[in-house]
Amino acid sequence: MNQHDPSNKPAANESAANKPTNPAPCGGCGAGASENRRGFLFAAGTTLLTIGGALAAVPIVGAALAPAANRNPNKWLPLAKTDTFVPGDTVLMKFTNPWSTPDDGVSRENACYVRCLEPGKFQVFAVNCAHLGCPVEWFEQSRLFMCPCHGGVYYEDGSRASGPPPRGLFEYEWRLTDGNLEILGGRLPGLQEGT
Amino acid sequence: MIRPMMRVNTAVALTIALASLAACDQLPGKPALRVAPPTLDTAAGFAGFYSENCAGCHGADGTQGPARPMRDAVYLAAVPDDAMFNMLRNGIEGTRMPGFGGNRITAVDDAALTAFVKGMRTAWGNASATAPTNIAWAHQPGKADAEHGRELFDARCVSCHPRTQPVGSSATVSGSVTDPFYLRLVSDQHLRTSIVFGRNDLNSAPANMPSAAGPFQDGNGQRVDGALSSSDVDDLVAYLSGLRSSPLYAPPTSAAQSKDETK
Amino acid sequence: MSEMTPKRAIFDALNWLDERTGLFWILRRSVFHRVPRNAKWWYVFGSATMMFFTIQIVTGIVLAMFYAPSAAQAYESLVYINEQVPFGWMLRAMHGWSSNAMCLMMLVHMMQVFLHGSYKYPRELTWVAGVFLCLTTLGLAFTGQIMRWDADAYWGLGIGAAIMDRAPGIGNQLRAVMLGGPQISGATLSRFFALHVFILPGSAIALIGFHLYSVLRQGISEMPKAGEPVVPATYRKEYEERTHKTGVPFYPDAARRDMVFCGAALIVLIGIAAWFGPMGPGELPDPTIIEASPRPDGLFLWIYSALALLPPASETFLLLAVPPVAIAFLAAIPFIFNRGERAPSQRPVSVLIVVLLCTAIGVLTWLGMSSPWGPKMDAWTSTPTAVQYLQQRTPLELQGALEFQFAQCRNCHAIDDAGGQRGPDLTDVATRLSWDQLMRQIQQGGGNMPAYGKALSSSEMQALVAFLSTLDGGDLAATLPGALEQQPARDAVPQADANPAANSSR
Repeated sequence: MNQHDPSNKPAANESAANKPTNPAPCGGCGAGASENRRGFLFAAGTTLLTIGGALAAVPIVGAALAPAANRNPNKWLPLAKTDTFVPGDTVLMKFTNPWSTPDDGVSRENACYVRCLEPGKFQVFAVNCAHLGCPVEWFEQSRLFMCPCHGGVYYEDGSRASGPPPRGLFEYEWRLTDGNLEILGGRLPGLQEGT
Repeated sequence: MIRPMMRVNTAVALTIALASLAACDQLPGKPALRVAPPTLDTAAGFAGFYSENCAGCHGADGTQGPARPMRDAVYLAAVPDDAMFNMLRNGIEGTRMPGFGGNRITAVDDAALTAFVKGMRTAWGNASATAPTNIAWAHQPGKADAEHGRELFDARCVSCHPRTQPVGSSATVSGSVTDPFYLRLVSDQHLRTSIVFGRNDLNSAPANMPSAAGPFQDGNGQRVDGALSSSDVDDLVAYLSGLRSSPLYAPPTSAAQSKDETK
Repeated sequence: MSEMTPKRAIFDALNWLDERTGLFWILRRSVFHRVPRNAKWWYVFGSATMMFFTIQIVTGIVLAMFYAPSAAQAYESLVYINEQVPFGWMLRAMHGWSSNAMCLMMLVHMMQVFLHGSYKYPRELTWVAGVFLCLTTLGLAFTGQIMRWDADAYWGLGIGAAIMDRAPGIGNQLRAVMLGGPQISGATLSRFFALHVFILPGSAIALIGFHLYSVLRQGISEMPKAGEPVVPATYRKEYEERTHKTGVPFYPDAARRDMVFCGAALIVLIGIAAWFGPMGPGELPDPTIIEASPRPDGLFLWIYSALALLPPASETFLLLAVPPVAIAFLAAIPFIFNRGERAPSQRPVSVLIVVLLCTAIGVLTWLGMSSPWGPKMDAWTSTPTAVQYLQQRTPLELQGALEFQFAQCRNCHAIDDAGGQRGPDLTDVATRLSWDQLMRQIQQGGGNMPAYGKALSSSEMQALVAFLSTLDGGDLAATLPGALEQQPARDAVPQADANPAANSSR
């Protein structure tokens, strides 16, 4: 964090504005008094610049680092009516990133895999490989998820089958609301779940 | 000495600049204009979709794959559009044919599949081609005489398809079709299609599988002429079907597809 | 008053400018400073790097006039630049290829400096600045790939985020700052745009300024000679004496070679750009299109390969600890090896390190292009089996060949080099594995193969093994090894198959 920002305009103006209001050093005063005054001015200038810089840093650093402060990135997102899922099937479903802005374009839509174990019982997997986040593809014939990047493979229950992934597929929490399947999503799934 | 040199340099530079201006549109690096991919009923669109999605099983050029050859004008003429579309969209239950359409996000949409059927007919079809004996292509479950089927099998099939695979043989038989494992992997429709249309693309031993028009071989390897009738085919299928030790194995996709169809 | 000739007027004007700005002194110092006579072709790579950087700045500025740094429009604006903007595609091609050229020249330059021991006293900080320039340049290359905002860019960010996520404790926060939110989105592109066009180029310009200033202040190092070690106490004096006595002015003596090399490199660059054209944009950055096979640009392929080959247990440690340690060590080299011999012939370990690094990166890049560890995702529907493996096979064996495609075996296993490379090529698997062994391998998996026991019925398994048993390298045309009745392990009748779909409902 840059506490002392010399290019900071408001602080610089402030200290510059202070100067004319100070009386000119008097000729008759002793060298000690002039020395004191210079020391005071330097200290004051440093202090004012530091305070100004710190104040200016708040919005700058705050805006840039704001995403790190989002402690609750997940929201309940509706996927579909539960009766659209066939027991034994795993299907790709879309949901919209709850943090999306109009600027996101096609990247607004996200995807997950819904595995229906029996009516009303589900597993919802992230499409992101647990190795490095590449999109895994579901193959219903061999009942495997395969990752094209480094060859991670998962079984249909999401457990790791082979390859470099350190664990099974990430799972979303899910719940049923009025016959709708909802998942707790929003954060790009990764090894560290959101706190 | 320097000045003429400079003039030459300037002239060369100018020429190159002008030439590159003029040639810029023909340079190999210029990216092609983005155009919509060809629809699947065009030759290019059909060939592209086929090689991406079908060639693995049906063969690189539509023949000589492990699955039914599609470059078969007789077969294409016999199977109506809607049946072909259904097979493409939903797959075929009990077989290794996956469905490519449906309601999944990754599915190919129905219009594209319809176009694909059209493209396939344009590429490989021939409207005047007819099944050799005009036997209906579709299997209809119904009453058939399995016992007659067994007699027919003994008379026309068993020399190439012995009931037990002889050890070490290769030149005289093409392999058992009464094998219970085999029968559990193929549908009655598959059996019927194989009997009606034969399989003449793979260089099978000792001869290619004939269509229902024959000629066949009897148990002693003697040529038997005479086409199978429609009911003969029914009976043969009924006989083979009856040899399955248990109901046809349903691959995992079937549940989804049957659900899909009801939507 | 003297007569006013045009020549005189120009001279006066220049004098005026020099008097007011004092800049000519710096110019004179930098252009005519004396360099060692033996500073020959080895020394052109730094200049070439800077020339390509200049190309990047200029083409980048013009591209910024057309590029829309918004996730909703970036892709379309790139297509617009490619197709509609006059010379737009050429600009993109130059920017893309010049980025590669800049990185290449920079690495060669760095290697030359390392091999010649030029980083030793008194040029330590020149080297340190160079190390940071190297990082900045690689950062520019990576952020530049993100500017393309296609599927590769999107999933490249996903990989970056996944690496960040491994950082213990702060991974979550690091990742959020990198992505500008909890998910890859428009905010991410905006962040990377700021990095790519403001922060990193600004840093690069500042670092290049310091780098060049250091070069002028410390002088260009001479060609190393065995038996002339660097002795800090006397080096500077000796260097100044030598360059004063035998040195030549940078311009025009040494600059001639730089000019020739840079000119040739520039023309080659334009040729490459015109011939190969711009890179991408590839597929749309739509995360619901999961049939993507993301690949990083060539420069980063070796990292991509290393990530496939690292032992999974050590991966997090290697990903997070090695880069900072390696960079710190790189920056510390001139302080650790501050004096002594500079000639490569006297520093065999340094030469060996360079050779090993180049070989490793070269091999990894080559592997990255073929990526044999990744399944070929569409092989099961698109890769036909050669006819010789299908002809004269029994109906069951043909069903097995079908199953081989259907169960996606083909995605990882090739037959006759056609198919995925992840698992072994199965062209002659029947000569290696017996019926039983094949059966067990498919059912239970192992050796990086998933177990298929639950996904396949016993009939499918039998057919598959029957087919595989015919794969003896293509020597035998017939069914001999696959003849089922020869196989004692074969079940007489199929077991009752549980439907896996029903199974999975457990």
